[in-house]
Amino acid sequence: MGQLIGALAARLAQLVAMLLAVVLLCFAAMQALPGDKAVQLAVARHGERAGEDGIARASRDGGFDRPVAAQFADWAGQVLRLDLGHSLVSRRPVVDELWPRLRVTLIAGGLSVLLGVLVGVPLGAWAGLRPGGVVDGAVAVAAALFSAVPAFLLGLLLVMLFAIRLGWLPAAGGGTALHWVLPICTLAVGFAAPLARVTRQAVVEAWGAFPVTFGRLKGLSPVRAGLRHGVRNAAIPVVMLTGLRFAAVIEGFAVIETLFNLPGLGDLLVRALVSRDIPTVQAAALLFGLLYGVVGLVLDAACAAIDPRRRLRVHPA
Amino acid sequence: MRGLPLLLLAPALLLGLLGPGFAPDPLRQELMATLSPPSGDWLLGTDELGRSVLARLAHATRVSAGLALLCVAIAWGGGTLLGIVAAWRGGWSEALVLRAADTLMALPGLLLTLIVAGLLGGGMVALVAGVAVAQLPVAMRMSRALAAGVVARPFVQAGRLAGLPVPGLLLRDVLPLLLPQLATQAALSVAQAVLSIAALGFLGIGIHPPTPEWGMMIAESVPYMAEAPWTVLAPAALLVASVLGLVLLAEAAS
Repeated sequence: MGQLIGALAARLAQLVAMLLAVVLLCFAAMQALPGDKAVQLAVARHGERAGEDGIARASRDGGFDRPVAAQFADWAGQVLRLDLGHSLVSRRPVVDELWPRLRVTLIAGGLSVLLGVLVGVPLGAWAGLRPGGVVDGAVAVAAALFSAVPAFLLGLLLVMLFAIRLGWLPAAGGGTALHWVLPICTLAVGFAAPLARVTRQAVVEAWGAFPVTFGRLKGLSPVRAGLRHGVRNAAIPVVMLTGLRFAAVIEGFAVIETLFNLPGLGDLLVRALVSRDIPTVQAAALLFGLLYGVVGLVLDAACAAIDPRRRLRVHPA
Repeated sequence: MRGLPLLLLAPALLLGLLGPGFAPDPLRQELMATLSPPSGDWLLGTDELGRSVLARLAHATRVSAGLALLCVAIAWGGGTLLGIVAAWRGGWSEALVLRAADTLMALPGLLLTLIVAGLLGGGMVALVAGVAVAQLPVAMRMSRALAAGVVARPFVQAGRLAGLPVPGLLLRDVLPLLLPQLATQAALSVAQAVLSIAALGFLGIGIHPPTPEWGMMIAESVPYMAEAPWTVLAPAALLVASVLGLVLLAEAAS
């Protein structure tokens, strides 16, 4: 038990260090930025009509006229008080912009992970139970192909087919539930492909390993032997990949949300990057980092729950 | 099946190596022939400005593949060096390299690339820096793990005891043993870099127009994909074939 708490504390410390790295990285990169930040901000706000006083106001609002260390100290202090500042473009508190967008990203991300698991795991298991069979071959080809198609391209191809050619679904925008179908499917397919590969491999290995053979030798039916001695062993890599890919799904949203015009966190990050809206970029990156870290923690806990060996050393190097 | 990876990589290799020599200027606009479908005159059709898709694709292949290789060379060159030195020295240097890799790995890859590339204001340097930094931790960890096994072997220790100069020992005796596995992993990294660069190009954070690049070509053609699907499908097919070829090549080698 003491070991478990120690390992969890180490994991939490790592999470904090990672978040600190994100903040520092964002800040350092912002400082290294070419061009006058005040001018860019003024143009982002007012377009070409931003005059001298627009630039002066932008410089004051952004604190660009103060020393670098002071700017960083300010920001770090605010983060600790959970005050993420005001967006330099819309001038609303960043936190107010984050929450509704976080909801969009989490719902769509969660649904696409769920759909990906529902498709990928059974297909992979089916392939893995009969290695070398027809299903195995078909799953291998499909998984390799879909792993090679980037999310933005898959989304585009789905739009071409279902929105333009067939006209069944809307191409972009929000509003109705139908608008969510294509983005969720895009991410789900990208997730199901590697998941099917890993599941297949895990099932082949677990079913060929000693515990299942022993179960068969002591007289269990193949199904019972597999369920009793195979599933847990096969589940570990699958759960780990699910967690890892969940992070990739959140990331993939940066691209997918832009493509489908969904008002999520990734869309916010890309927009903020383009308009150099520093507080928003930092807040969105921080939130992404936090999500990623929390998923990592949950993942470690899930692996420990499945595999008793890991409870001794929760975080193997 | 053995030739499949090469078959998939062949279009990109041919286009990238030979294409720019034969194809017309990728920036020349034939405004009388915008969005022409593929035909004898335009093998892959033209885009919205009447530019030859084939010519743009040939130049884009050079840009995309060149940048991907550059990113991988930087990430794997630097990462391997750090990893081998860490394995050789052990102690705090090794701990430092591993913790640095952990921290970089804890940051989601594309997010890291987006932030670095986006904040440096787009353009090639930022793009390469972003993609390379995202790949660095994998190179560091893998070369450290592989080198740790080799460094412990008798012939390396014999060289150390004989007082051979360390850089020569590490580069001539340790590095060659790691190369096969590192090369396999680096091939996967090239595929990853191609995808990242295309995604950034698609978001408009990568290369600045009018230089053609795969992701950007696709993004530019999105508004016209209903009436001119070839403008999207040609770069898309080349991108997918190349990535798939690289992945299969790495799998066949391992």
